[in-house]
Amino acid sequence: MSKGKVRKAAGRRSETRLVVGMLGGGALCGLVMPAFGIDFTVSGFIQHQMAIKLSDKENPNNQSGDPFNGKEVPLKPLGIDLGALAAVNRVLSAASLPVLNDLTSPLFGSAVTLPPTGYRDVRTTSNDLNLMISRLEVNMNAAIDANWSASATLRAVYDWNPYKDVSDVNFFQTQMREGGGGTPFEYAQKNFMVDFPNATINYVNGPFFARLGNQQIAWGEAVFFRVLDVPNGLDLRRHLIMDPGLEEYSDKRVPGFGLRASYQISPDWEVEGFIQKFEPTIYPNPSSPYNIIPDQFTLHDRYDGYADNLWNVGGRVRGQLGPLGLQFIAVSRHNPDGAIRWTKSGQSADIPLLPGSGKTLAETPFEVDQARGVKSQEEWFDYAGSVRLDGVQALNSAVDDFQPATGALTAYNVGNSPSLAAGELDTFFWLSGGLRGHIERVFPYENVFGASANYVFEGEPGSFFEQLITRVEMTYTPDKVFTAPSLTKTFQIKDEWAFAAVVEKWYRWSEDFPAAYLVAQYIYKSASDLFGRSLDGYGGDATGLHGGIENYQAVAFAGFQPSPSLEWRFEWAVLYDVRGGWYIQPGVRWKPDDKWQVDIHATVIAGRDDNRNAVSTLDFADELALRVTYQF
Amino acid sequence: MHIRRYDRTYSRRHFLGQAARGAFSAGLLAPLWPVLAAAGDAAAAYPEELRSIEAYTGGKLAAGQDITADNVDLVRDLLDPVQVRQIREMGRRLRLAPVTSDIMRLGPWDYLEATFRNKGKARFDADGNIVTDEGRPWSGGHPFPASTDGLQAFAGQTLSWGRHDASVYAIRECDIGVGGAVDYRYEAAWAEMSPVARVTMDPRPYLPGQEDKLRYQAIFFTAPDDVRGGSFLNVWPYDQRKFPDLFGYVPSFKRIRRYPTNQRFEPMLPGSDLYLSDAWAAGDPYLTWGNYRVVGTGPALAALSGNWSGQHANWEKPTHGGPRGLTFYDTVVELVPQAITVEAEPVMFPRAPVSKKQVRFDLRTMLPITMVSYDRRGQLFRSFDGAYSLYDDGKDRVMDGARPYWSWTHVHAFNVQTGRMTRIEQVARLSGGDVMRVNDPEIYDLYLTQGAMQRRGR
Repeated sequence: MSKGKVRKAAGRRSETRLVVGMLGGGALCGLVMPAFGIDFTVSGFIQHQMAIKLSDKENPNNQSGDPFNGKEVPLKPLGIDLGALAAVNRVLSAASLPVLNDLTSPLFGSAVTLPPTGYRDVRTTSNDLNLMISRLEVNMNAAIDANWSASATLRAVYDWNPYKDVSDVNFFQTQMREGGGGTPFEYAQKNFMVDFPNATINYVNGPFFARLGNQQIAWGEAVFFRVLDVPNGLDLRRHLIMDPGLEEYSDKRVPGFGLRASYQISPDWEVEGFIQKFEPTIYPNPSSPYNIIPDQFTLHDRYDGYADNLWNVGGRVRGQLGPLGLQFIAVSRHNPDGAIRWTKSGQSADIPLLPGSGKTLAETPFEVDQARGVKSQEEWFDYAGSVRLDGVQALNSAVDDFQPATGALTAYNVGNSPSLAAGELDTFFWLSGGLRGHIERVFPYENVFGASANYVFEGEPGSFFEQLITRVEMTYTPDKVFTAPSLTKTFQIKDEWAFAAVVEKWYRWSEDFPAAYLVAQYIYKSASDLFGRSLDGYGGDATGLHGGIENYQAVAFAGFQPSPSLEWRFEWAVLYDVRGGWYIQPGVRWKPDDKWQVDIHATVIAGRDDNRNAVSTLDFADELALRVTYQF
Repeated sequence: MHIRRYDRTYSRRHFLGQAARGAFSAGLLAPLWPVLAAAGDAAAAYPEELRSIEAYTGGKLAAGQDITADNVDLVRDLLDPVQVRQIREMGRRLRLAPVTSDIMRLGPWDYLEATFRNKGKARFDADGNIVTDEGRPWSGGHPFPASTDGLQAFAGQTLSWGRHDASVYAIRECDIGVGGAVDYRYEAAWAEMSPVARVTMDPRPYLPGQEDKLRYQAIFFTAPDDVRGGSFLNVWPYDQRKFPDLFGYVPSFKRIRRYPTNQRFEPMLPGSDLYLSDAWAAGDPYLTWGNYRVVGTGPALAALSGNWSGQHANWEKPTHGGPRGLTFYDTVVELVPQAITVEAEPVMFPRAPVSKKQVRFDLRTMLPITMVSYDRRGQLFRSFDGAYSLYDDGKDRVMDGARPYWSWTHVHAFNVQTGRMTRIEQVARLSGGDVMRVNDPEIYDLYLTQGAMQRRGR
C-alpha cells in the first residue's frame, strides 16, 4: 500500500472512531446522566427531501450536461481552416512535425481527427430530479448544573442517487481529509454523511458565557445576503443555496472547532470574541446535481497539509442606544471560499502526436483527456464565460505561469486577441484530442472590518412607518484576494466594500389574517458578486470577449403570509440582479400538527443569460422542492 | 333564627344601580380598602351573600360541588359568557371552593405589603405614566388598590404582571382543535424582571440606571425540536406610550434579529391561540389602549386558590371536557365579593382584529380574573381565563423566600369563532432542564439578555 493510501486509511479510521465514539458517548450519556441528576434531553427529526426539475436543462458543469456533448465542433488549429488533409500537412510540415494520413486516426484515438473536429463522445442525460435525500437529525442537550451544559447535534444524510449521470458520483466525500468528511467531526462515504455540526460544552457565569467545541457562528441581520456573516464558510454539498431563502444558511454554515465567549457589559452593551479552527467552504462534488465547477477541470483543494492547522479569530461589540442598535466587528481569517488558480496537472500522458511530451505536460495545468476534457475553443470560451473567467487571459496565465514547460510545447501568450487564443486553443485540443485543466484552491488570509446599525421608526399607528425597521450592514476587506479571471498564480488583489440595506415591515392587510412579513433588501459589492467571484470576469461570451462589470448590485423582496392559525405559511423570495437576472422562489409550508411539516418551494432562475448577472450561473436548477419532516 | 339584613336582591340592586349611574365604588357595606387595611379581610365590606357561594345561591351550591351544565344557570352572572358557553356546550366543569378571606393568601406577600404601604402615593404624570409623589417611577405594589377606575386598574396590572420582582415560569402548552385532540404541544420558559417597583430583590425599588425601563421579559421555546432554541426578548420602556424593543432568535437564522413589536394580536406558534397582547390580560403598554371604562360590577367566580397540583411531581393538572376529555384543566373557583369589568379599545392598533376587550378585576387585589374580546363586528372573539394559587396545599409547598410561592397555575385561551383552545400550565421543570424560579438574581443573566438568547439558541 502506498504511503498516501496508508495515510488516507488512517485518517478515515480516526474519523470513524471519532463519530462512532461520539455516537456511543451520546447514548451512554443518555443512560447515565439522569443518575447524576443531569437533565438530558433528546429531540430531532426525520426528513425526506426531493427536488423535481422544472426544465429540461441539465447541469452544464457535469459531463452529462455539457452542451457540446455529441456535437461536431470544427476546429481551426492556428486559426486556419484545416478542412483538407493537404492543409493539415502544410501546417505540420511548417512546424517540423510528421505529416498525417488517414491512418493516423486509429493510431491516436480521437486526437487529430480529420477534418479537425472537437467531438465530445459523452452521453447527455435527462434527469427528472435534482435532489433525493433523507436526513436524520438528533439534538442532545445536557444541563449539568447552573453553570455548565453541553449540547450536540447528530446529522445523518443519505442521498438515494436516482440521478442519471455518466460518472460514478461521490456526493459527500471531500478532499479535505483525503476522501473523508468535510470537517473533523464528519464521517462521509459516497452516498451518506454523518456529522456533528454542533458539539459543545457551555459555561455561563453571570454575564460571562463561553462555548467550546464544534460550532457555527452567525453574525449580521440581512437575510440571505452575507455581509456581516463572515466567520464561517458554507457547505454546499446537499442542496447548494436552493433551500428557502428565508431559512438563511442554517444548514450550510461549516462548523469549526473553537472557543466563543461573550460578556454582557451592561444591559445595552455586549462584547464577544472567538477563536476557531479554519474550515473551508465545501463545494458540491463533480457529477453531483448541483456541481458548480465544470467537470472538464479538476479542482485540487489545498487544505490537507496546507491549511488544516489554521485558526481564525474575531470580535464583535454590540450595543443598543434607544431605538438605534449598533454592531462592530473585526475578523482575522482565512477566506473560506478560497481563491483558485491554475496548478500543475502532474499527469504525464503524452500528447498523442508528440511522443515524450507527457513529462513536460505534467508541468503545465493540463493533462490529455480525450474522453472528458475540453474539446474545442468554443467549449473553452463558453465555460469561461459561465464561470465568470476571462478565456483569453486564462490561456495566457496557463502559458506564462508555467514556463518553461508551456514554451517547450510551443504554447505562447496571445495578448488580448481572442482570435489568436482560439487558434492556439484549437491547436492543442486538436493535437491532444481533448485537455483537462487542473486548478487549485488556496485560502488566503484577510482582515474583515464591519459595522451595522438598525433603527425602528415610530410612525403613526397604521402608517407605513409605524415600527418600520431599517438595517444597514457594511464590511471592508483590504487587499482581499480573489480568484483572478485569468486564474493567474498571483491572484487578483483588491480592497472590497460590501454593503447591504434592509427595510423590514410586518404589515397586517386585514383583520382576519396575521401580519405578513415583508422585507426589501439591497446589496452592493465593489469587487465580487453574490458568490464571491471577481467582477472582472463578468461578461465573457463565446468569442472570448468580456468586459467585466463595475460593481455588483441586487435587490430582493421576500416575505411570508401566515394563515390565521399559522398552520399554513405562504412564502416568497425574489432576487433581482440589476444586470438582468431573476431568482424567484415561491413556497408554502404546512404544519398540521406538532409532528409533521410539509414544505414545497419552487425555484426559478430567469433573465438574460449573457454572463453579466450572478444568478444565470444556476439557470439549470429550476426546480420544485418538497420536504416532509417528522419530528420527535 | 338568623335574619339577613341584606338579601341577595339587595346587592344585585346595588350593583345594577351603580352600573346605571356609571359611578362605582369598592365595597358595599363599607369602603373596601380601609376594611382590608384594618382587617386583612374584606368580610366587613360585603354582606354574607357575597361571602359564600352557599349564601349566594341560597344553599343550592356549596364548596366542593361542581358547576356543570346542569347548574350553571345558578351562577351564570358570576362567569363570563364564554365560560358559561363552555360549561353548557363543551362539558367544562368548575369545582367550587370556599372563599379565601385572608388577603395575604391572594398574592405575593411582599407585593401586597407594598400595596398597603404605598397606598395613595401614586398619580399619573402629564404623559399618563404612573409616578410617585416625588415624580419618580412607581415604588412597588399596586399603585391604585381597590380602584374602580378602568385606567387605574389596567395601569396597575401592566406595571407588574406576575407581582414578583423576577420570575421564570416553566410552561407547557397544548393546542386543541375542534375535534378535541391535542394537535400541538410546546414547552417554553417565560422570564420577566422589573427594574422598577421592586419589592423583594435588592436593590429596591429601582435598579440604578434602569429607571427608564419597566420590564425585561423573554420567552424561550424549548420543545418540540423545530422551535427549540427560539426566543424573543422584550425590553419595555417605562414610558407607556412606547412599544417595547423586541429581539428574536429564530433557530433557522442562528442569530439575533430585531423585530417590530406592534404585531401583538397573532399567535407566536402554529396552532396556538395565545397572543402577546393576552399576557396577564394586559400584554400591551397601557397607553396603547384607550377608552377605558368600567361597564359593570358585582360578584364573580374566579380561580384564586386550590389550583396548584402539588401532588403531581411536575405540578401537571388533570383535564376534562371537550370531545376527548382534553380541552379543560380541572379548575377550582371561589366567590369574589366584588369585581369590576373594565372595557378598553386598542386605539393604537388600527388593524387589530379586536375591537374591544373586557377584563374582570377582583377589587380586593386588582387581579385580572377573566378576559373576553370582541372582533371588529362586535361579535365575541376570544377569552382568556387564568387560575391562581398559593403553591401550598397543606402537605407540600413551594417557597418564595420565607413565604409560600404565589403565582398563576394555568390559563385557558379560547377562540370562540374557531373553537380552538390553547391551554398552558406552569410546571416545576421542563424536559430541557429549565425550572420555575422566583426572585432569583440569576434570572437576568440566564434569560433576559441578548447574550442569553444567543447561548441558548441552536
